[in-house]
Amino acid sequence: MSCGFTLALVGNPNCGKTSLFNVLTGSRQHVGNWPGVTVEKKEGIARYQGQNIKVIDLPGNYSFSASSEDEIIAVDYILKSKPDVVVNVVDAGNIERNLYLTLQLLEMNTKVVISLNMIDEAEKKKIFIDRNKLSSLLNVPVVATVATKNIGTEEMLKAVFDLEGQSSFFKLDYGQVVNEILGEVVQALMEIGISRDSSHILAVKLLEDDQHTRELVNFDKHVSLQTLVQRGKDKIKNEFGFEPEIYLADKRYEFINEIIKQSVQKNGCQTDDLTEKIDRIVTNKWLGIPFFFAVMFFLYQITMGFGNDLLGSYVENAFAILGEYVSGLMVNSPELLRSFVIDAVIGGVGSVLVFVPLMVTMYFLISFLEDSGYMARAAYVMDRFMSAVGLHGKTAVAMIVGSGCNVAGIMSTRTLDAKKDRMIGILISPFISCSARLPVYALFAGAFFGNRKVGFFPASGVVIFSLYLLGIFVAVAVGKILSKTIFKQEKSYFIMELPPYRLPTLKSLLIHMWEKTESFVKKAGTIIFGIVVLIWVLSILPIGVTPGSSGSILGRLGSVIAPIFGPAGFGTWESSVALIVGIGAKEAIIATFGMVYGTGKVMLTNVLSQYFTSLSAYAFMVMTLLYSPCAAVIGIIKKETNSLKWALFSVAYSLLIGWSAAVLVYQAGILFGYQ
Amino acid sequence: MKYVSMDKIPINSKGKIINLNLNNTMRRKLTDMGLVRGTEFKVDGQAPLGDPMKIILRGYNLAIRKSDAKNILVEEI
Repeated sequence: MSCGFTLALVGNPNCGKTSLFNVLTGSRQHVGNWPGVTVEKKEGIARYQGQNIKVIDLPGNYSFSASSEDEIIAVDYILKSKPDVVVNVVDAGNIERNLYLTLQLLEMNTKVVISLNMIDEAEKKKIFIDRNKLSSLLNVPVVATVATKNIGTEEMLKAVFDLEGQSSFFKLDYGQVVNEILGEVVQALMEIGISRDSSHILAVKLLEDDQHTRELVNFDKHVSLQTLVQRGKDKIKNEFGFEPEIYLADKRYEFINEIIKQSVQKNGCQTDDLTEKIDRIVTNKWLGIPFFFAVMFFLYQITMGFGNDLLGSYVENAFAILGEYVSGLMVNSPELLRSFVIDAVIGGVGSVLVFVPLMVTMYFLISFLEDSGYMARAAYVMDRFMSAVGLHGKTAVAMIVGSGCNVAGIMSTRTLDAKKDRMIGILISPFISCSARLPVYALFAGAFFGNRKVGFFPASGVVIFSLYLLGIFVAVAVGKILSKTIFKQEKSYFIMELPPYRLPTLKSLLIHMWEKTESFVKKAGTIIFGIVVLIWVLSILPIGVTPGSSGSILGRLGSVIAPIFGPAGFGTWESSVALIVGIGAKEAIIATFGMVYGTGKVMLTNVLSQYFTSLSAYAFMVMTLLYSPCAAVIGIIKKETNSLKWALFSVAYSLLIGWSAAVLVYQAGILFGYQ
Repeated sequence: MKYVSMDKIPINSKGKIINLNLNNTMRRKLTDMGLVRGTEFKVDGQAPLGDPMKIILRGYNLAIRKSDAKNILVEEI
């Protein structure tokens, strides 16, 4: 057995599949409690007795009915890529519903090992499972695991290896009539070149009217197959009085009930006491919504207060010291080289890295909310409110996730099943203030509102929170318009599991936090550094010009655009350049200011007050919030909507909205006498 | 026997599913989540603004909009 051995993980959302993946591979990967958080195919390498095993973490699914993209990914992977063994992670405390997926998996005629996960939680709920009985009923190995504590994983890998070469074919008894029909369809499928292994599940799915399966077997091109399937469906309908899919699902649950009866012993109420208690507060009629907003508010206060003001200042001081130190070392170096190292490298990248503590803090908190199970409640609590404006409760969650990074927010809209909800979710996500914009706010709010207080809270925090609210307001308003116009015809629905609350392990939070921060640091090291160097070059050309002056290429470029921003109060070429650069990456706005004003962050605060008033600073922040998705987000919109048209639409209308809002803020401010 | 739609079942009462009068996509979604004919459930509460409702079935919690629950025919037990 070589590294060619592949193991795929399959299971319901919230079954602890991602925890198991982390334990097996030791890789850094996100563990979420929000249903469907594992939207991408994740790979890792596990070691067992000196051998390497490739582990694939498939998206969490409730079924293989292929009605959502996540389900299609999983079905296609199992049927087409054929992993050597599939480990089906089953939440032992929720075994009844989890087994529905198991049965479909077994029908795919692939080798399966069941990992009965979170067995400790189940036993606490007084659910006891006879593993040997379950194993003999399903004809597959069953191993008890507690992935978060790394219990049972060795045994599970052993079961996986012992299974090699053994077949675990399983056929659910659907009753004589249906069995016969299935047999005929299987025969017909094999005649058109479908392998014996896959034909059984495909036959079942054709009777269920599964659209994706029809595409898989080129259903439209095979008339005799169509006739056969149609005849089968009619026969089932006549015989039993319902649609075949209802009949088949009934049969599966009948079988599950039988398994449960024989192998599971339940005492007591089986619901989680702690979850009930927390829900009584968190989803309370009066407290639910205030609680949601309080969570959001403290998310920002902690991020800004602890992450930025406290931790951030250490990094800031470190860079200031580094700058001075290097400056001292380079006293005798040529002016151009010194400018490059101090202004471009240390000043530019440093002014971005200063915000790492802020991001670390925010990602830590968001991961906590996701892993704990609160995110699902947020969707539940906010759905009525969101649906009033034509949005879905899960969009509220996409907004929260998007406040870390809009790319992540857009990715999380994959858990929305209805096309309407999904498209709107994607298109409004860029208005949500992401952590990359926070550095810009932090800089401006610190410079212009830093020493004031609003009640108990620092004014800078309140200013930033107001931008966050503005982002939500614009997102909601645009969502409302989209749902009443472009997507008027489409339907929306809300059916969602509320998983039990779980205390996230510190390890999984740290893994998630590091994963996100790492990608930011890498971005700072590559894209932002590249932009900084490009800007620096543009700022010193043509040769002989005063570096970073309005006579440089950069300055001229900015000067051409600057008049557009006059009505918004920041019609300087420096601001224009920063905004252009910001489309590449919003964090680069600060680096650009650092470059063109030739200072690090500490000095930048002082310099800015020469170019901005409190009012124009606020207008600039509004512009930064709304004006265009960054390059990464434009890319993901194109990818997720599968259309360049939507991506360009998103850029165009947000530019218009951003500019209008900034002008409105500035002009209204002037009118009311603010400066 | 009197049948009503699911959204009419009061909080803390139990019911049994009789039929799902929904389109193909929705019906499959519900089936995947364990709602089939004969499934028993308990209405456990509702969101702060009165919608969606929360039911307990097969040992787990499920949130569903009342407009969707309206199309599920049930029997109060």
